[in-house]
Formats: sequence, structure tokens, C-alpha cells
Amino acid sequence: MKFRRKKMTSPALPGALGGLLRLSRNLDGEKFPSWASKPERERTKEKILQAAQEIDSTATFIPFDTIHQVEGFAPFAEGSPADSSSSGVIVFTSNPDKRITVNGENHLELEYACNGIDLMGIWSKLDEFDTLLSERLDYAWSPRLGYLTATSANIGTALLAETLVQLPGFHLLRELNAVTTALDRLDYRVRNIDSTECPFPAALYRISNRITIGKDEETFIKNVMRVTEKLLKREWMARLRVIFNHSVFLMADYVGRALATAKSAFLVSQSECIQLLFILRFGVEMNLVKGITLEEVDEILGTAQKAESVQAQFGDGFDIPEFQLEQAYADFLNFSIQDVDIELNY
Amino acid sequence: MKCEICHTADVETVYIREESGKQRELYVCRKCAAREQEAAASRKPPRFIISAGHKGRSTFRPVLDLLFDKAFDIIDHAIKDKFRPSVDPSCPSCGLTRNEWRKNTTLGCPVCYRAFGRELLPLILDEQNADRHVGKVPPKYRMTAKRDELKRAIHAAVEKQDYERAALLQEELDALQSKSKRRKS
Ligand SMILES: [Zn+2]
Ligand SMILES: [Zn+2]
Repeated sequence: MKFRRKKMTSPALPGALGGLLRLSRNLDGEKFPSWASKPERERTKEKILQAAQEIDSTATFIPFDTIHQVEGFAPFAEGSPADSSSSGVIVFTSNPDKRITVNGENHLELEYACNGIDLMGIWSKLDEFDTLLSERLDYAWSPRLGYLTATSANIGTALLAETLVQLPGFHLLRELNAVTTALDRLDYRVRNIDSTECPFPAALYRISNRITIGKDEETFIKNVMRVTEKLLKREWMARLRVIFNHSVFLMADYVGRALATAKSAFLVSQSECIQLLFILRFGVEMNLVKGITLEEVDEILGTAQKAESVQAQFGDGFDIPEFQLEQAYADFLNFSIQDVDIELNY
Repeated sequence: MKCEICHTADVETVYIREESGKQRELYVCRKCAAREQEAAASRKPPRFIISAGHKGRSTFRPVLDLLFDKAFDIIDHAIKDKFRPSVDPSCPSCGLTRNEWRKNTTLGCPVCYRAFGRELLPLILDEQNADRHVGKVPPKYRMTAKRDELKRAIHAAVEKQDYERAALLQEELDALQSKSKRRKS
């Protein structure tokens, strides 16, 4: 079987799924959110919202207790504090990639997300946004320690530079432990974000800087980008090793099982749906799947993150309430990939 | 959270160490706690023990001496208790105590960094291999930095009797200061 080089190398950087930059900031003279009283948190929230609206009039505050009503929050949303009316996110209709988390661990956490892993491409925008806010808010800062954060773990630049990658090549070769250990030694944080609800691991990982002080922001960002690129090149080599040193069937089996589940499941949770789609996406990257393009998978993935539209479009099949969303996701998945099949090109 | 003594094992217990009359709460692993306890036991001078002298012959001190010792000991302790420095230091701004911080790893407010600075700096150095910020400076502080720099330059120019240059720099400083005043109002 001949290896079709041209098609195989078409995705720019296989496994590169997304990037995020976050700057944590706190207000001088205010207690950090977890020690502040409710009125204190409310006051902080008002200050931040006002400053954000002065810069961008499309700024809207969404408290954490209503966050599920906001579409497209799945990929980076994390645990929310107990009191949720003064904690939440400020979103901007002018730019869905930009947002501010208010009264999470810190008073405010400015975030910019991107589709690929070009973090430097969003840094200048985030930097500018932060500077504009700092002219309106009194940031807690010290010449020695930089930006003062609620825990000393991200003191200094208070920067999180994070990439989202998929490493199924290493997964199939059972080399993930070695990879995460190596990154850990190099002072990068590596976290697997596969859902336990799905029996098929998509090998989704977040890579980020663990060190936040002693170097400037650009150096930290470039280092995370560089290590992610190196990692993804090795992941690509791992995928080729699976095919040529082992067997293409090992890979086809992995994608095929996920595809069969996606096609025939009756109840699928949102996170399982997303995970199955990522495995399918990997199959498309490896030219193992026919009937769908990478752009189409990404579009389906985009829809899958919006529970409301899935529910609205597919949620009227049965009326057992506790299963309604899972049934809607199953129907959505079955429908979206009905023409997709495994094709061995090797 | 890692053990405060070996910095490798996870915290399993709390150990209270006596340091020159102060009590300090340390979050440590079981091994380090046991080692500390042993070390402390060997450091403690034996008290009120009628020790056996060399070669098995006991040496006795007069009973009156012993009673005196005991009496003074009680007084000593009372004084120490009264003037013992705060066992659990706290932040002057938000009131968070050191123990609360050590338990939660979350600080109370920005001032806590000054209040617990002596302990925080080595901790940061330990966690991050650095304890000095070199990145972004907020614009507000950039102005302060610039002002300090100009003041130093003016001083240097005056020292060198370069009054022309000093006047120029003074103009620049005045412009900067009026700009920041306008900003404030
Ligand atoms: Zn220890
Ligand atoms: Zn404090």
C-alpha cells in the first residue's frame, strides 16, 4: 500500500486545537475574592464592569449561576465559586474570543482565545486590553513581585499561556506517560482533559507554563508555543510510527470504534459527543475517513459546544426529561456523521 | 501542598516548632514531623532530674535549691507567656493569619505579600526558581519610574554644574507631573 504524502501533510499542524492567554489581575486595597464578603465582591464587580464598558460598550456581565445559558463556553470553562451572583464573566459581543472572568480566584482574569496555537498573535491584543483596563483600575502591583495574585503560584507576570492539543499517536503507542513526565521536568504543566463519561480517550491535553516570574510575558508565551510545536512534530512522527512500524489497523480500529459508537448510540452526553468528534477529527487528519472534511468536523464541533442549539434542533424526539439532552446529542451526532465511513488508504 | 521542611512529600500533619520562644506552625510530612520531634527531644535540657553522676554514684543537690529552681521556673514561664510574641501573625490590612494562609494557600489581600514576605519570598523562589518580576509594568508605575529617573538625572547634572541640562530635565519633569495631575483630576 502506498503512502499518499500529499494529502497526509495537508493540515498545517495536526493535533493543534486551540490556544488561550490569561492575565490575572487584582485591585489594590481589596480582599481577594475567596476572603471578601458579598458586598465587597459586588463592589469589585461593579468597578471592573464599568471599566470594561468604558473600553468596549458591548461588554455584558453574566453571573456564574446563569452561565449555562451562554453558548460556546465548553472548551475553557472551569469550576465556579460558591457565590455566583457577584462572580461570573464579562463577554463582548464585538469579539467572542475575548472575556474577563470576575471574582474567580482573582478579581479579574483577562482572556483571549484562538483557534490554532499562535499565541503571539493574540498577545498584542491582550496586552493592549490590559493596559486600557489598568488606566481605569488600580491594579495591585509591586516592583519586586509584579502583579500580586491570590496565590503565590502565578505571581509576577500572572500569565497563563495555554495550548490545547490532541496526542492520539502517543496514546496508541502507549508513550503518553513519558511525554508528560518530560514536559513536567521542563516546568510545563500538562493536563489530560478527556471526559470519564466517554470510554474512548481522545488524548486531549492542555499544555501551559508553570513558571510565571523571572522572565517577561513574551518569553513565557514563545516557550509554550515552541514546546507545543516540538511536541506536535513528535506526535506526527508517532502517528507515522503507528502506521509503518505497527499497523494501520491499530489506528483504524481506534477511529472506527469511536465512529461506530457515534453512529449508533442512543444517549450521548455533551462531553462524550465532543470527545467522539475529536477522535473522528483525528481520523480525518490521518486521511482514514471519507465523507467529511476537517472544516466540516470543526463546524460540527462548534455546534456541539452550544447545548441550546443542539437541544432546540434535536431535542423533541422523546419526552423523558432526564434523557432529553443526551438523546438530542445522540440524534445530532447520528445525523451529522451519517455519511462518514472508514477508508483505508494505506 | 508540599511539606515545609523537605519540600517534596505531601503535607500530612502539623508540627509546632519552638523558635527562640516563638511557636511556629509547620505543615509537614509524617517523616519530617518524626525527625523534628526527635531533634526537639534531644535539644531539651533535662529539668528537675536528679541525674546519676559518673560511675553510678548519684549526686544530690540540696532540696532547698530544687524548690527555689522550681519556683523561679514558674515565674519565668508566667513572664514568657505574657510577653510571648503573637503565636499566629496576621496581615494588618485584611486580618488573615499565617495559619489560615498556610491551610488554604490563598492569600487574603495584596498587603499579605508584605505581611508574610519573609516566608513568601523563599517559597516563591522554591516553586518558581525566581523571585523577581521582569515583565510588564503597569502605566501608572511606569510614570513613577520615569519620574524617579528624571530626578536622579537632574541631581547628577547639578552635581556636574551642567545647569543647562538640569533646566531642560526639570522642564521635562514638570511637564510629566502636570500631566499626571491632570489625569488625577
Ligand atoms: Zn517532609
Ligand atoms: Zn492581607
